[in-house]
Amino acid sequence: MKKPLPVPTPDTRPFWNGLNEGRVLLRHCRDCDCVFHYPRTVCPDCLSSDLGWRQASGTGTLYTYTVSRRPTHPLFADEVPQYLAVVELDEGPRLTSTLVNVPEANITIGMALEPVFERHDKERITLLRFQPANPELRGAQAATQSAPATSLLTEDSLASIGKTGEAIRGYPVSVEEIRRFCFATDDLNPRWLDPAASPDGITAPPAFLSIPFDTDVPLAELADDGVPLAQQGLVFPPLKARRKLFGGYQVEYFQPIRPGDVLTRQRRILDVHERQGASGSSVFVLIEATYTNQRGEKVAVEVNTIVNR
Amino acid sequence: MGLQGRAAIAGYVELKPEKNPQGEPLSGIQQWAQLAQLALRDAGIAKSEVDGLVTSAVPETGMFAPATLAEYLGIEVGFAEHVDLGGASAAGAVWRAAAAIELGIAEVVVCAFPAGPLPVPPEPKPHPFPFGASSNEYGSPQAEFDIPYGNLAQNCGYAQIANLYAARYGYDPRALAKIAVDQRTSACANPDALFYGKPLTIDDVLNSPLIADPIHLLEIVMPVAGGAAVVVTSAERAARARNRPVLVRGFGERLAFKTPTYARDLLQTPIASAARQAFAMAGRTPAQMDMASIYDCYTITVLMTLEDAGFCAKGEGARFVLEHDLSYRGDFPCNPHGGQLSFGQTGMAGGMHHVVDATRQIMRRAGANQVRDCNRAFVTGNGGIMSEQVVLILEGAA
Repeated sequence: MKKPLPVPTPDTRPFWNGLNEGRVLLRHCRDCDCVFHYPRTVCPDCLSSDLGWRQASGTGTLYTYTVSRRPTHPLFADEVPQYLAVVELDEGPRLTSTLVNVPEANITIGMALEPVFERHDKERITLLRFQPANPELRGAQAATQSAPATSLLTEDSLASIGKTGEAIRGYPVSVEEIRRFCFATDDLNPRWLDPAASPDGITAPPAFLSIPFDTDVPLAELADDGVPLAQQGLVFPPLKARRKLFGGYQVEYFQPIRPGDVLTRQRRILDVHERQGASGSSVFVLIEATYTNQRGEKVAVEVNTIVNR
Repeated sequence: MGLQGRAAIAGYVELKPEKNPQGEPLSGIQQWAQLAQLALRDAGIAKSEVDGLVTSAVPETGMFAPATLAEYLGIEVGFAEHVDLGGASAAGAVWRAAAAIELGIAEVVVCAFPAGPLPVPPEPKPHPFPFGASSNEYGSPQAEFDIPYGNLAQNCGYAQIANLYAARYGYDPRALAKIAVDQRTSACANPDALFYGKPLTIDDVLNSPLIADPIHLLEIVMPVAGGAAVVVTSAERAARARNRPVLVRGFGERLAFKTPTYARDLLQTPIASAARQAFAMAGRTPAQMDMASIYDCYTITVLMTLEDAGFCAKGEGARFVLEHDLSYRGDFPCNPHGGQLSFGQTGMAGGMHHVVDATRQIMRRAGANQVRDCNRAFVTGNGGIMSEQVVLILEGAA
């Protein structure tokens, strides 16, 4: 599940469009002359539907807030501590927001605030956050935990982000190898097994993707955890961690894989970040692998998350 | 205007709260039936006499819950209500039942609130409420204006209220902590309580982690499994039942917002007008109450309820708490069974805990936790983030 963003409705769309343009729009009732938020199809003062829009100053004061030291939902774990605020705009209406660019010690109820427009370009949504109007009160948000006492990162860990490994060719995909894979995984879909099932012949099941890169090695060349010691084409950041945990896998497919294909895999370090938890530090390493076929077509892109402790 | 005190609670059931429930889970409908059976047995009233029911949402039947329950129980009712007031639902159910009885449209009304674990279906489905009490459905104001900022769940809303209270009236963390400590004293006399045998000090509370400033971990209820129900009937029928009738003398109900951001004044809780109405209806004053059963999801809720209901002046709550012993044996018994903070927060049955606790005391069935000469009780229900609140004034029959 992704962090939820607003999904505008026809009657609230102008408010969100306004934020995209850096303007805060409030609903205005032509009958009783009040302004209100959030946008509704009737005025909450007099129930009139003779409504327009007014541009607000965007500035306001802090009505109340809390420092949330536990995530209010797992999707917001990356924002802890959250400075959850109720902001009262100069025009009167209140809205839900969070405070940014402010050290915890500088937050006081009643403080003057100004808007910060946080753009999410892909979703074409702008969230309205607030910072102190007085520049002297601004500053970095203090981290909840003091700097990690035992970081597992080395000096070169973060510098390795973006590093690309050697492109490796897998062994050619064959009908027999696909059959072995299907029987081993108990996946008897005729699309993978029966040449008559489709005019284009059989294709490999999606999970077959990495099979042509699994070359058999003698027992002596396996590490204690059963993974071959030599990992051709794998790039990995230098860390002080001892153990690896599988932390997730996502893959996007672009082309089917067919018998006769020869895939090439190239891996790169997409991201490295460290998180401190109650039981110590974990380093999340994201490895992206791009698969292309013998015609140079992109077949799939996968991202592996490996948790290092 | 209002109730004449001609309806009474005649019986109740409250299951022991369980952190790790044992045994096969029952469906919501099955739990409802079990609670109805136990509460009717407690009252000594036959199922054939039941002609009304009040419920909140039943997990297996998103629609038509009252009719489904009537069918399952084999009853025909002239009064069926689905109350959707969160933690205020139970108190809301009791006054609705009393009103139906005084109107003469029902004689025996069962109000049940199951809160046990549910069986896992053979094909698990996604959680029906992925954002808890905030709705992420398309078109929901919470989905559009609150959830994207992380403003969801309960802790932070209550913390925002507490911080605003602090800015206007000052804040004594020790007084807030004492509310939890006094209730723990009561729980330590009650073997049914979740925290029985675990005494607590003010320093323990203040040394527990801050969850959302200024609220500490031990000022927040712990959700557990349970269930509770009451049987409401006419005063005449109650007089022929097994227990001392507990008359519903007054009530008040107020709600105006879902998310605290949109409250007119967060420091004027809905309890203020609900309590004013309830006391006036009952012809009683706060000083005439023998006990209070105050919805205690957080300590700040208790403090602000004491003020807004008129037990002390606005801004004087901390002093009131420090000057009184709130335990069952104290001079101001508040939540004498331990309250949800120490008895355990049994989900939707949590609101019923306060109705049952007052009923148990007035029926003189509270065992070691019995408050002496307890005849009148002030009871509250609280839903959402102090956003929907109900008051009941209960009184034992002479």
